[in-house]
Amino acid sequence: MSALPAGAPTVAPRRRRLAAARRFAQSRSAVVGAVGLAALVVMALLAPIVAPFDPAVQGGEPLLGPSGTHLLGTDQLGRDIVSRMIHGARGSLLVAAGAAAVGAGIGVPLGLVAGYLGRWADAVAMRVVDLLLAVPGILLALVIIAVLGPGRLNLILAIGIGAIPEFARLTRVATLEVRERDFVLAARGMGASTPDTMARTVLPNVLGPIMVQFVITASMAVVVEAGLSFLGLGTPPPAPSWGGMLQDARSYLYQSPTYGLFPGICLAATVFFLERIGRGLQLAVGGGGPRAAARGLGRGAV
Amino acid sequence: MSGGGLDGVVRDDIADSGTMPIVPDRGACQPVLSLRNLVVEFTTPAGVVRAVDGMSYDVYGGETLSVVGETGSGKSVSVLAALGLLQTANLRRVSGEVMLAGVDLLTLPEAELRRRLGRDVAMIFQDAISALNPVQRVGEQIAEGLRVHDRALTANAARERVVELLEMVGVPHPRARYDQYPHQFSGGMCQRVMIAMAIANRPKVLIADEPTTALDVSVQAQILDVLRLAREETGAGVVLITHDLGVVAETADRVAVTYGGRIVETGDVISIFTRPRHPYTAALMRSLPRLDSTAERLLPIPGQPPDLTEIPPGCAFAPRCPTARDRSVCVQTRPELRADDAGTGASACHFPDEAAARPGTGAGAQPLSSDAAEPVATPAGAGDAAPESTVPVLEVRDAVSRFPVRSGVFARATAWVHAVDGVSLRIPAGGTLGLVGESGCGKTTLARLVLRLVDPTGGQILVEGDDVGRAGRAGLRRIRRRAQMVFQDPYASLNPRLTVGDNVAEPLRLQRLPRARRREDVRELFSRVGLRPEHADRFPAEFSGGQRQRVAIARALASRPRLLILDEPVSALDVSVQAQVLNLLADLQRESGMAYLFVSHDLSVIRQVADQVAVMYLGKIVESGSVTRVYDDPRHPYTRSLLASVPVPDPVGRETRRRVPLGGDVPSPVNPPSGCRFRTRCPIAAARCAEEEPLLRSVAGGHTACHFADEVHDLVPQVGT
Amino acid sequence: MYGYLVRRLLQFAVVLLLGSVAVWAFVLLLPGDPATVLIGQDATAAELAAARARMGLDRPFLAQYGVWLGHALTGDLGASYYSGQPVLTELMDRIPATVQLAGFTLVLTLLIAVPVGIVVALRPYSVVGRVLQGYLTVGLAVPAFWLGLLLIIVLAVQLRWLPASSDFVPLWQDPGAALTSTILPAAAIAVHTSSVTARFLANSLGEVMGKDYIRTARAKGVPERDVIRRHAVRNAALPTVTIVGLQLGSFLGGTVVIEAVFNYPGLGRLLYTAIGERDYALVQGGVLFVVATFLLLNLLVDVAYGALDPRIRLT
Repeated sequence: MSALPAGAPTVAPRRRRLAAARRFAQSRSAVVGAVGLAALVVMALLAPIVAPFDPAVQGGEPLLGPSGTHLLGTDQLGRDIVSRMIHGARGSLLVAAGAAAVGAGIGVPLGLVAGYLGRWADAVAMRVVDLLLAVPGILLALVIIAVLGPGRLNLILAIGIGAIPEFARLTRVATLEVRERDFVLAARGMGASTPDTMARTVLPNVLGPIMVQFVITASMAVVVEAGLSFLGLGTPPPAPSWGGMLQDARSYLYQSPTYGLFPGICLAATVFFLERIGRGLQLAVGGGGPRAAARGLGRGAV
Repeated sequence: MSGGGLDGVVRDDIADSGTMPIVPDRGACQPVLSLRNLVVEFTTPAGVVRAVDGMSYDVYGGETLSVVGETGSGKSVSVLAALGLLQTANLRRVSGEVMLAGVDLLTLPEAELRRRLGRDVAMIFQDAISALNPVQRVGEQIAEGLRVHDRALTANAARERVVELLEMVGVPHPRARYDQYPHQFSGGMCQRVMIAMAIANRPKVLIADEPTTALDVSVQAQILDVLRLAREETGAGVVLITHDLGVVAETADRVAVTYGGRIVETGDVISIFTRPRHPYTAALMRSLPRLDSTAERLLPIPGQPPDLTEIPPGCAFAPRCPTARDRSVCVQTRPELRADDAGTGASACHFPDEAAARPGTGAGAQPLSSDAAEPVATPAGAGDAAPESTVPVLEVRDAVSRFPVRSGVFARATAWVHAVDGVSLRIPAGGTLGLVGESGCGKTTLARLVLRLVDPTGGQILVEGDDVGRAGRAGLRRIRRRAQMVFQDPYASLNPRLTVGDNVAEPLRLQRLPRARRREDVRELFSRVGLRPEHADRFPAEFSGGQRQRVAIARALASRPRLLILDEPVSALDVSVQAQVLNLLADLQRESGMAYLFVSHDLSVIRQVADQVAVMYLGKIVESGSVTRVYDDPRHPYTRSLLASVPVPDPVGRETRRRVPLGGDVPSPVNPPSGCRFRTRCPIAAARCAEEEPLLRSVAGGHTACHFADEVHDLVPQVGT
Repeated sequence: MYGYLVRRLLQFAVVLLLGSVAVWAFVLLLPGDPATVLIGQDATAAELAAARARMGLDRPFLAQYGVWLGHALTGDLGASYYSGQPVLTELMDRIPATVQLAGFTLVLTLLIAVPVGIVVALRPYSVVGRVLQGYLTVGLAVPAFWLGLLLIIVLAVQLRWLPASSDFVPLWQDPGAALTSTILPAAAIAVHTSSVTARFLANSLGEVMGKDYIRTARAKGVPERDVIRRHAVRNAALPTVTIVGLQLGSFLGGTVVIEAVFNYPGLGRLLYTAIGERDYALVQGGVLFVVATFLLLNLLVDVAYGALDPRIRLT
């Protein structure tokens, strides 16, 4: 017997999913994250309405400091910084969600097959994962963009491919654990086929940590996208992007020292919101052990 | 975890608890440990759980007090809280008094408390393998316990003392073992190390928390002997926390029975077993299957254990109590623990005399249940005059299953585990074969072979005449419909992401039955196994262990199988619930005539359910036959030792019972001993046993694989119970 | 342990071989012909064919790969299309700077992460614990390259304490100057990586503190300080070693953006420039070098892990 009467003897009847949702909602940081991200998404969707100026229109006075008309000033071409920041959210969020989807879309099936079938499937899949892991994310993205050429879709692919290893490893570890549980054996004993067992019995039981990883990958992708844009290989100009704005700020450090502050705050806030949501999710679904949330962050440094 | 121990925990110290000592005056003797009015509460999502609800008991030097109760009755939590070892974030309150050598442990600052732990009071934990630090040498872990309490002790002196201790608890080659790590020890050896660690400083109190629960019965007997030795060696008062009434009867001097976070009865061990004065104690004994006789029907305790989030105003046992029926005082007033007239025990029941007066309690024969009108159908066994006209539901011929042990560079199979090595069985329709053996004997692998959840290496398995090994995809699916499996752990065998209704409907979905039909079938299955159909849309997490096992059984029944493979189906359940499930299985078999392959390590359970028994050891069947043949006239020394190792829930005459626990651990199935596999642990092994493998042959109406099956009586005296 | 070592070594070799194939094949995937890149757009067909023959591009793929691999194994990674220098020389030029930055960052990361992780795990609700949790939250959220930019704005532009660009000064030449030139980019990275490591260590430690053997140590009467030092930290540190190894690997070639922010002449910047200039021989060589180093580091970490954990060492 474990020392704690955890949930023993009978916990009051409660819907499992609702309970998970409630645990998520009870975590203050998770709510902060969810509300913050929702605000960002709304802002991005309504950018043309919310933004005070057209982000592409030049003609204001260049490199102004914050003022009444231009809340945060203007850039080197006289464009309104606030408006460019609001429009920049679109690219960041789109790439983040897309890259996480690509990573999960390839990594999860890979890990599921490797973990469930084992042996050769496992060995082959894991060696490929090892290789992907051996190239730092940003370098991998640079090389892939060199091959595919610039553009938003290619950007999503380039960052998403770098996220495959984490999804695959996480799914594999969770699958290995679930595979040994009696209910999987029971499913086979009922006559369920291997694909049916994998899809209906194993997958739902490994989804918890995958959801957490999805959010963490998205936050990593935001940073990588900004880094690539900073290098001039991300979102192609003149479309506004936070990373691109930081590049401009780097060039005009002495003329406009405040320029570099604001796009960075947007970046940090986005990462912060996503990370909070990840923590909240982890508390709610309880999957993957307490180390999982930190694991995915291992390669976020740029 | 904050180092402050009980930070943030409400302490409302009750200076004068006012509760009476439970044990009457023992002359000038002072208890070595006293719990007074201990209350422990946790905050959970479901509300505040009062896990311990005012427990008080005393332990005296040199005696063994057994605290016995079911899961969640507060028996373990109480001692962990008393010693400040509960350090979870959701601990809400620990109050009361824990007196050790005149000091209340609950009032001590943490550093002071630590100085007493391990020196004055020591603990032995349940799962010894995980209770030892995996990256520290075993000897050093014991030496550490010595040196924290005696700073002057040199490393060399400590090492010598540890080697002595290891020797005392029966660890062979203690000098070499000192430098090994826990993963190099077996479970039994780890538990010996725990005991050595606990007695290192000759404490006044030894607390053993389910010390043998994770162990095989033969190892359990060894460990109980070591514990007895430890008590004699140190003169300590022992608190033995267990759920196993057999262990209580074998070892305890006095007993405290816990229910719903309270102590409901205390007394000396003989009175508790022969004249229980609380209906719960009496009911618990009645619900136990026995090794020495078969009841027509077990008498389970109805209902479920209490919900500790809502403590009722009256007696916590009232909803399940036969004595309380229609009595308002039981529901309204909480009975306090009151000493009996003789002054040897106490009972927390309003009507203690009626509890004692219930028939059939104690050591006597099992009572006949009124509702067990007809005996369970017992068809002729496979070994005797089985009707040859019908095809047996299950026939296993010479089944072999080997697993490769992979090692080296290319993960080549360098050795083979002979999990099942030439086993043959037959189960006729409506019959029950009990397959019994210790962990690692291959019984679970054999059970899985039947459904080809493990691929056989050789032999033949026929389910109603169809060859499981040769069946194609569709054929196998048909076989898996006719043979179904129920697993040991009901917490693990249900898919937690599906509702219990969907879990039960899974086999029907795989048969492509329309949704409406499924729902109808599920409703019917639920009522057959005694579950409420309207609970079908709840998730497994909302059910207790016993209820989940009913769900698992309902799922197994969904495809109307002819054979149920039951792999330790009641091992994870509490005694009172275990009896409910065993009765349910008996009823289902009577209704439908299904055959059962019942796998268990528990000899008493097998005796209760089976009509034929097979005893497995290291992948082979060493003895088989009817229940009476195997239990009453065992011819294999292994069967005899197993039966002798099982603690009997009857303290009367325990001193005169001769117990011959098997020495050592089960050898590795990778390299089984030559000749007879049992010879390394066998008390009557001779030179011949190493050279010639004994075959299963007909002996005294059953089958035994021993060269000396005919003269075994003269070689080892039969152990009487 | 022997079996474990050999198996890891074999995996290392397989992945490295796989990596070499991928690195070599990457050029084939590129738009355009490498020969065109080398000799220019307006070369005649004959000149192009000659260049192709010289570069061995007219031979079968497998043969091309074999030749390339054979050269790579002897350290000949070809010549940079752009500068004409041997690729190895170009890489060797940048390696001291990269190693110095990685070393500084690693030391800073560990110096911060270990104490922070332990305090956050054991005293999460104390004042210091809350402050450090705040640090972790910020450190996880703030991208390293933006933090670098902020450091430049504050320390170089506003206060003029340090230079805005970091010309590489080797430690063995002038330790003082080396420190000032490397400390800013190292700090910018370490704030993030130390937060990741500390969070991981804290979670790991929290998990270990709930284990049965911690309870056993307490029940023996071991003082809490020793329970943490002797029993908890040792067990929690083991998995943390893996994370730190992964991070160290990503410092080699993965700090492209930071190097761009500080104009730091590291390996990442070299490769970034090479990609921009379509200097594919250099990219191939550089990526192969990064992959090989990363795999080797990981191998070493795994071997260290095996040696530290008796459950692996003794099987």
